[in-house]
Amino acid sequence: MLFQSQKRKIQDDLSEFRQTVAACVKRMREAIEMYCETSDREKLKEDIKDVSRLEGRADDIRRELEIMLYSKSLYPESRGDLLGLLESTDRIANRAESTATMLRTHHIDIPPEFHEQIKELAKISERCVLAMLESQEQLFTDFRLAVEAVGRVNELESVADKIETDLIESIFSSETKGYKKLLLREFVERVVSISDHAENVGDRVRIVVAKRGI
Amino acid sequence: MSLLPLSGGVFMGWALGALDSANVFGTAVASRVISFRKATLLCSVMVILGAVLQGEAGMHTYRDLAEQNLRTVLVASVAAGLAVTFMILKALPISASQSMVGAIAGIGLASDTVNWSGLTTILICWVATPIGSLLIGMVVYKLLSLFFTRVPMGILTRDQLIWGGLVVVGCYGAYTLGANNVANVTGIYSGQFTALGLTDLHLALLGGLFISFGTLTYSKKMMIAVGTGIMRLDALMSLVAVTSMAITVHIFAIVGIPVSTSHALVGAICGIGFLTGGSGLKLERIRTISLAWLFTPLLSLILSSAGYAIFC
Repeated sequence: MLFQSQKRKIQDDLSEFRQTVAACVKRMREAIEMYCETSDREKLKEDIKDVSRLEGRADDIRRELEIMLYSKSLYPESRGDLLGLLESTDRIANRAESTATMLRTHHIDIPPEFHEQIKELAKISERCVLAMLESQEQLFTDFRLAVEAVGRVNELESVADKIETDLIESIFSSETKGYKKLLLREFVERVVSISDHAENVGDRVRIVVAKRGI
Repeated sequence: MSLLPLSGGVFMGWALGALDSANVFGTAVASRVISFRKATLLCSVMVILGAVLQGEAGMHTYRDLAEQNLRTVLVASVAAGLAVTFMILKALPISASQSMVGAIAGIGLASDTVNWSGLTTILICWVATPIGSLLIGMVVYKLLSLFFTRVPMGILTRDQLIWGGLVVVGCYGAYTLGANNVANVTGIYSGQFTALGLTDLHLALLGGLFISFGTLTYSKKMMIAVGTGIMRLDALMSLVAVTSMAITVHIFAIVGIPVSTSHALVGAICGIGFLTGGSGLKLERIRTISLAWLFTPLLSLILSSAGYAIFC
């Protein structure tokens, strides 16, 4: 039997996990903005450390939760759903880390004419993740409302796709050198993959709700 | 006088426990909401409780169905137990009540002592059981649907309510199984052992123990068959099905007519199936079960009549 204290513990840990993922994506967005504005590689290293630390913390919470979900007598349907959501949400933190790290390891050079679009893309991706995390939170308060938040995830993901398309077109029609164009495109695709993945997690949320539909 | 004829009751009780405890916890076990071991333990305790507290009314009904002596009750019990065992081997959720009534009727026909009025009442109740449970199932499903769609709650709370609910109604179902169906096990012995000081209450307790024996030793196969055989059930549907079955069987336990938990459960699942569009119902399986319902009393009737001709 799942007692109130166990349920509370699971919900609290899930809440901390969501906050950590949100903080990780926020720090990635801030790192991209800072890099666009200052090109300060030392500061970038510090920011990436923060992103990595948060990603590591999200991993730790996920592992603890997985053990808890298996050891507590959670209803099997809930256990499968929560484990699926945990794993897929954790991948967003992984992508945030790899995106920020790419700026450093690949020495990405972002020409000034793309700064605003890239910063906007990072912002939209973050908002997309936040909407997805909100939909997850709704699952534990009033799961019928979770689908509304997933709808916002879909809208934001579409906006991110549009920015990505325009940006890549701009990159390849610019005077930037060939290999730099390819690197920049890869970077843009990584940023967009965060909103893509948030949408995938949102679809999972939708299924969790649909399974409990009457 | 010896207690040897009670061995027929042990056999019948074992068969009934193996068969009917599936109706109580089968959906929960098949949905992996509760482990088989926990389910059988809970079921056994509640069956004994139901048999002792409310099982006597049905026992009187069987006592009055045909004239019996210690030989005929043994023959009837063994015949009914054989019929049920045969159906268990075929994994068909048939009725222990039908089997026992068929066997008593077989003895009654052979000895020309059938109480036709009592038998007619029982036949009417057999028809009323799945229909009543179907209707109750539809009402319960609608009510629970309303509750779960109107009341704001998280998925953990929802699942916890359904999960806890399944265990609670499983216990209630086991209680009603004991209360209603103990008559199938030792009801036929009512009044046969007064010389040994065995009252109906003692027989109810023994019947409950015999049913528990079947539950604990041989109910797994049927639990899986009931849980997945008629329609793929989610946890909420399982909750509705067992609740409806338990309510129906409890009503008949109060009336004093032993009916079939299998009939009640299949009726309830069909009710849910109709409300949800019926696409999940396995019609071929329902047809097979329905035929088994017709075949069971005939089989036990033939077996007990033959047994009467040979041994009595």
